[in-house]
Amino acid sequence: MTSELVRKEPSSLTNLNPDEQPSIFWKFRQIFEADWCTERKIYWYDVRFNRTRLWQVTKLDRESKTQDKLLGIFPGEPDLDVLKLAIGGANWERILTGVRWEIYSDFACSQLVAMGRFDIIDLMSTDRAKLERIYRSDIVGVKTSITDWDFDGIFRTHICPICNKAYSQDLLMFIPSWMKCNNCGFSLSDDRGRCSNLIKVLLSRLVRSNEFHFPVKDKDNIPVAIQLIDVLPTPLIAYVIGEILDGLPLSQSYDLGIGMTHQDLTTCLEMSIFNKIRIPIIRDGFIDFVSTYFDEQITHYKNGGHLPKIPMPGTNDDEHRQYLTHDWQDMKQRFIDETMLLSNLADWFLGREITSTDEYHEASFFKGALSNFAYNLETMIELLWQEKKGGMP
Amino acid sequence: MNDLIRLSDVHLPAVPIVLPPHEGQNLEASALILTHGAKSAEQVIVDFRNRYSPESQRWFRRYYLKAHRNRDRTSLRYAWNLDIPSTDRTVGIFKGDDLAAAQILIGNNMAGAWMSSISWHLCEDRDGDEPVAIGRFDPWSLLQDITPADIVRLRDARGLVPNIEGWDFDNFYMHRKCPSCGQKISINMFAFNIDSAQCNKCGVRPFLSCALGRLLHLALPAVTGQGEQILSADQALLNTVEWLGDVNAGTDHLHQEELPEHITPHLMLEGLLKNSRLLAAAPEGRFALAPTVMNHLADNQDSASMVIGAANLLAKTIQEGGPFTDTHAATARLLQLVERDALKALKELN
Ligand SMILES: [Zn+2]
Ligand SMILES: [Zn+2]
Repeated sequence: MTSELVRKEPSSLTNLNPDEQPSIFWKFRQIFEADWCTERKIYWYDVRFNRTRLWQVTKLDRESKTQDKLLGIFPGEPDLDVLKLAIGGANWERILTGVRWEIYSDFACSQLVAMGRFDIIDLMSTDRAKLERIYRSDIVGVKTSITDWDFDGIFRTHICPICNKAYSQDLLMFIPSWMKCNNCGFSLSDDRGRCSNLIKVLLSRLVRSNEFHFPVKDKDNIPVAIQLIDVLPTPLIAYVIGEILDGLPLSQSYDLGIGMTHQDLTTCLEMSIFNKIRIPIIRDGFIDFVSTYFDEQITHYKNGGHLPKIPMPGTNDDEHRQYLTHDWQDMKQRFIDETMLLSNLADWFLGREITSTDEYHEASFFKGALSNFAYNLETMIELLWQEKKGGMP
Repeated sequence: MNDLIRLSDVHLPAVPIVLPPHEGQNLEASALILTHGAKSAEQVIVDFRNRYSPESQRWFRRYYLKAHRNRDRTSLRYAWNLDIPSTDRTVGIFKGDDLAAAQILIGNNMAGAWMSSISWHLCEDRDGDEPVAIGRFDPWSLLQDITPADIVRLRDARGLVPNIEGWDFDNFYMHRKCPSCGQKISINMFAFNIDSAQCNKCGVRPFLSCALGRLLHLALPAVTGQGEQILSADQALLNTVEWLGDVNAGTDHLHQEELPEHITPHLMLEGLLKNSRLLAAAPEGRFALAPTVMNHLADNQDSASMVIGAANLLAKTIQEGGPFTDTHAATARLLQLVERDALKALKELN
């Protein structure tokens, strides 16, 4: 059931060539592997009386371990599988895409023993018999539901709450109106109660996830573009602002329930790409980066690359080719226009410079830009994955 | 990728003393009904302890050991405010470096409190430089690494025993004295429907009895003819049946409780049935449905006769005092719905 979402099998939104490709979820996981994470959480252990003690660093300029947070004391010599389960447990209900965990064997944190991303693959032992043993032994708490291990918020957003099947296997971004279940017909955006509840939960979890992160030391080998990608803050805030543009006043639609406040929304916006592209140099860098993808498509069709298998009715191959070339050119232009427009979004929402939606003559254009944005992020994942694959041995 | 672990036969760690049963105390085992998704009381506790394990708890209480100068004594102290040592409190004093005594004292120190989201840390020093043990507030964690010999030694030498009654730090158990025989009853309310708790001595359901007693009290005037009627006879009757049916109980499982002495729960239900507007007595000991409802069902003879049949079965079981089953509960729900629909249709007509 849920393993569908993390498998490495063909299926992709933006499948250009007919070769087999891993799923978008797998690509996402690969580009957010530990070596490309820009933030980190730091853990270390020491041993005394034949017991291993696991600590978490809560601030970098510390002088003694009394300033660290004690997470657990486990019998015997350090066992990485136990320590990883404890780290997973300690971060339960947090969203940690782009954050890695690091385990050191000394207080100074100079001896790195292991690191990984926050997910079930990196945190849970593959030795099933051992896992069972740990679970039975009461050494460490083992969370056993899939949502307990949902550090990217993907399971929660991509699995049908009625029948527990994955909605789709090729859409990574969380776009409520696309979350329709092929199996039982459930549609998330039609169930407004459930939908806004989910958004509330995700928002409050995002906000809560910011504690005790530190930037990684050496970012030289990490593409800058990775810092622009996320799978939750951007789609979430785009959805909520879309609702507001539909005329639902923020206070009325979102401030009532538990755990979602204007402050949560502001934090979410600040975590999203809309806050980052306020800065012109980042905005232009983003446009350049994603444009290479559109350029690839345009060049592909211009230079006689193969056409999609399904023919276009009433056209010959040349016309089809020309049509696709123009179409990609249009899409590229639209992407640039929309990005320029959305670089003002954060200022508008936070009331910094622009005071009303009048700036956006047509709310529908604005809304369209918001929903297209999620796709642009998926495009970036595709591009980054190609880069990652290129760097892999 | 790993499948998530789901083992049904996981057990709680062994402890050196006898704990009350995980299900609760003095319960009729055959009457217990597990809550949705629960496999057993023990499994529910295991799952809960895993989910709220110390590393995922947000807060902690720090206890530390302080050796007395020139004497073989140690104080267990609680650091109330980590920044202000003068506010530390002594929880207990014992001989030597006795971790077993310290852990039992920590448990007894917080006995009776609700501690699900708080863990305990036991340290060698006030600063917490050298923690020696950490755990949840619960018997399995507080008694870790303690042997039966430790328990006996501490009891005999110091009179120190775990105050197990007060160690239900997660509030698993709901307690009540049986209103009929006075025996102490408790039930694990995370694992079981509390209304399914039944006294194993006299058969009364202490929690259900109390809740239903209060409900029936509101409809008492329908039977006694005195006082202000808050709940209609039908509402009280059908709700009671629904409630009893959901846990397979009958009126003999209820105690007098909130009712006057001369009106037993059984007489009460019979009285409500007599005063029902929905179920009116008809010839030959049968029951007919109220005219409004019959008119509403007139278009569909099949469903009309089905509803009447079910209503008669229900009325008969009420007269017998039960036991009620989930079929009776479903009938009670159906009758309430049919009546509501009939009244709504009538309103729209006018
Ligand atoms: Zn479904
Ligand atoms: Zn009794």
